[in-house]
Amino acid sequence: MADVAPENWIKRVIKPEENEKFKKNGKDFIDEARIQETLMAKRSPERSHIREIMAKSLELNRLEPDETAALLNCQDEDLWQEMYRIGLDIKHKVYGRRIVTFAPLYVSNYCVNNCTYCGYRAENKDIHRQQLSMDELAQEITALIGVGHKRLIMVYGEHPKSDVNYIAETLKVAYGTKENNGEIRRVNVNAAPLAIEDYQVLRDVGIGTYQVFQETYHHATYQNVHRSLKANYDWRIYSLHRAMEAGVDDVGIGALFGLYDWKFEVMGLLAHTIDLEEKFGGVGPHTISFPRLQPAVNTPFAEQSPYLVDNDTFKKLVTVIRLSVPYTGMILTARESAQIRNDVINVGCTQIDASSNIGIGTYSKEQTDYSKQQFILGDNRSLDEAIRDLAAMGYITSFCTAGYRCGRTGDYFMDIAKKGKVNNLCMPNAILTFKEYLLDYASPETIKAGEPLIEKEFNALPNPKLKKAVKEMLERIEAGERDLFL
Amino acid sequence: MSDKAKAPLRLAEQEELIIRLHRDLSCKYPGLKMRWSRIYGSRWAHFLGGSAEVSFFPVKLVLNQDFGLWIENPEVLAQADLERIVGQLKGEFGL
Repeated sequence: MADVAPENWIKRVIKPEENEKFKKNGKDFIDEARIQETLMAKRSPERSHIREIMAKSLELNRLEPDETAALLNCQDEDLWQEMYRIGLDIKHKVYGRRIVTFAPLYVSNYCVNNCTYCGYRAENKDIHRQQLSMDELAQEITALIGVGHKRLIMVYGEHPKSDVNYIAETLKVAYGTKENNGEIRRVNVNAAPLAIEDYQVLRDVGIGTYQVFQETYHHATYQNVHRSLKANYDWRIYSLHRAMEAGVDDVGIGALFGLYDWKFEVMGLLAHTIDLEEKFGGVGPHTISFPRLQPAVNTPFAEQSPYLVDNDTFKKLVTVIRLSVPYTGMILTARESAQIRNDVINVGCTQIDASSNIGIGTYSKEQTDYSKQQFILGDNRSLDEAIRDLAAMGYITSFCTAGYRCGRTGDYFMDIAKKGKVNNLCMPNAILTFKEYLLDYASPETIKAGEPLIEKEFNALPNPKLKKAVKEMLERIEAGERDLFL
Repeated sequence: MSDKAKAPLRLAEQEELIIRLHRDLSCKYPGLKMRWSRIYGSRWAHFLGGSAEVSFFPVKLVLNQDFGLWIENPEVLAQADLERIVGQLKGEFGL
């Protein structure tokens, strides 16, 4: 943890020379004029063209920008209904009828930045600042383990107090905390862009996915809404290139919808995906996130932006992302209401958070404290309630973390995901981890909703030898063993 | 191996060794599917090899604190060959 004045620390963070090798003729990969031209050229797509594009997506091929632009400009509601169905079909083809669940854990809200839309901005004096000590962090993690979580996304403000050494220490605490049968098995991180050598520090302590959201891909808007360190567009847009270069081969991209035109942002996410794939042998983002701007304490911008996205448009943009990058995980967070999530999950999302509390230090106290939150959450269901609702929709909840413990990362993961093979492992591991949850944490109502799902998905496993192995593992779990996976 | 303990290999040397072993074993046992991983704590990151056919029952070998190997289809090997490979790796990595 750097004991240094923020103004001095800021001067040392950005190393522009680390970006140069990724640029083309000194420019980044967001060609705004080209994006606008493509959207304009595809402003009235033919129905037959839309259907051709849907067929390409269903074959798990990534779309080209002109194809995504055509989908974004579709005006035919019947075709949108078809796209919703295709989105779900794609998701089932790649990942099966399972939803991965995780908890967000906000670790520190000190921040040197002044993003106009964010409750954590340095100038916001109505926010109570806090950074968890390692003991407080262990209490938070114990509380999360106690309700059944196995995966975390740990979130940090950009500040010398939460530099890479602090983040690395918190990961060690997360992996080292045990409670009865429970433990955290995968820790993903959402934090500020780092230099390559700093990413290597996190790689070495076993990070899962590193997430950096660009927020907006539109250069002028980016400059308007960001101050201080985060105002450097290049440092952020190449942050995950540097992470990949450092050997963190699972990265997550995202845009904050509501800052600029939603169609442009979807095109930006696609351009980001394509550039990563081109630079890293076909390995693009492991996940794509699409948060919408939400109200925050003393943050009027968040409710006044002219680009706020309504619910219907939100469902459409999520669908287009699903079709554009069919093999990538998609994260739908508790920023959205339970009602919206239950609807939008059906166009192809793969991961949700649940029982989320985004104040600092609030899980162990079982309280909500808006003065410590970055924004206001829309879905306050407990993990048990969310799992029960998912079960009612036919989804098995997966706590699987096997992939990154079995070397199924980076180009190998992408290869099997693009070929629709990863589901062969996802579903057995979902069954096994769901069984653990039902035995250790579920309410009687959730057990009643979940057991038939396990039976249904078990019976649907295609391979007799696999079935036999899963049956044996389920029996071992019932006998008290934990953390069995394929 | 000599009686004298081997000096630990640097990471780059280990990577070169794995690339050579992967090539040699692939030549000696055609059809053998191997995946090599770089170990970072609980994270096993993909390093080399692998096929699009996922394996449900691979053999997992921890080579040392830095690298691991998955033999995806051990069933194509006779038991003696599998033991020979493990023995060779033990020699190379000091398993």
